[in-house]
Amino acid sequence: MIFLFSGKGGVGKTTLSAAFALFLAQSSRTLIVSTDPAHSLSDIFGLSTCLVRTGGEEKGVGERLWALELDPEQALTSYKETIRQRYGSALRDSGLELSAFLDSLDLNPGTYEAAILDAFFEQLFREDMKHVVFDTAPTASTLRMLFASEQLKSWFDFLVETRKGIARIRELLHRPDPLLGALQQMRQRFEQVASKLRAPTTHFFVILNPDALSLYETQRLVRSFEALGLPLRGLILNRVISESLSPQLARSQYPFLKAIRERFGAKLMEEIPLFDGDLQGPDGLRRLFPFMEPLAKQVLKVGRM
Amino acid sequence: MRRSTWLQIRELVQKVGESIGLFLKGSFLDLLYRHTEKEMARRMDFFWVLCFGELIGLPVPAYVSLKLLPYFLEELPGWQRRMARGRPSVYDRMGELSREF
Repeated sequence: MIFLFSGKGGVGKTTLSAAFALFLAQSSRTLIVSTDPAHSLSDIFGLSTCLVRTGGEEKGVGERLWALELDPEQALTSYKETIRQRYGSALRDSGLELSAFLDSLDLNPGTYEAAILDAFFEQLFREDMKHVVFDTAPTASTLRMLFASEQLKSWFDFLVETRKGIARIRELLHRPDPLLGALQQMRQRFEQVASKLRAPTTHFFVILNPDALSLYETQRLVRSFEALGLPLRGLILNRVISESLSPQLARSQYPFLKAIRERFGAKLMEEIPLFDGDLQGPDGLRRLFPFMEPLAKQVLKVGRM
Repeated sequence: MRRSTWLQIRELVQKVGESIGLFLKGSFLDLLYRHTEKEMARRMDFFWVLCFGELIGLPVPAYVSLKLLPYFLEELPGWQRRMARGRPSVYDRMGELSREF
């Protein structure tokens, strides 16, 4: 099953997705993947920095639990190196500024998404894991990535159609066109991803805090999900301050709590209090288990249907 | 004697037939072939303009360019020859093609 945790920056996506993954890993093989460029999975599991991010391979961080921080920059660098090695002379003599084009790719706004998209797709189709939990980037980047994947699908539709015309002519001349097959495969990938994201075994969670900014952004996010036709599984309200922790702060949250409960009522799956003390490391994350259990129960029940 | 004359005539007819065949092929079929090949090249060139429009300022998603760059580089030598023919820059032809289609 696929779980994607989304929401505004700083609402607790990493903590909750890590706790959820750790909970699922009690019974089945689970992989947690961070698509956020500012990774903090290593930190949450109490590992030294970047331990999770070596060569695009996941690391075991617990029993039946693996973690992976996607690193598109590294993927892009190695891609560029391969291209340069194989086509170095062609690049230089092309009469086009292809070499400069390759260099400027890093600055191109779409490249980062492009690079992360492929890495993301790959993890969506893991056969060796029972569950894959995604700790996604803050709302805007995640939405851009999902939008981009829809937009690219229609791009590849167009390219395939154009190339089909070429392939027909090439057939007349008895020259097969390998590129058509490759393009069709690329397009098929986008179709697979689109249907995977809408499958009943894929669950999107949005996390929010009881404050004004979080409320507004979540409203926008929910609307965007509807626009994309992606099924939103539910909302998780995080960092609810209890009276016993601080009566004053708890009271200041009341209007937002009320607004959120009214607006999202049925979609609200769980309310998690603000914890006194840190939730770092497996032991810290286990403190969240009482809240993860009902969440997992609801989701796994639906998945079986 | 008579038999060899007959053979000679047959050979001659065969040769004339072959020549007519070659003539027809040269004037029609090859023309068609060349035309088809030209059309193919034109369309393939346009295809690459679609994929690397970024180079002449057309908005093409970076993902597309990145994915297709290796395929493009395979075809680059022929592409370059066709595109640069008699033009100061390959970009001129890219512009022409993007207007043509």
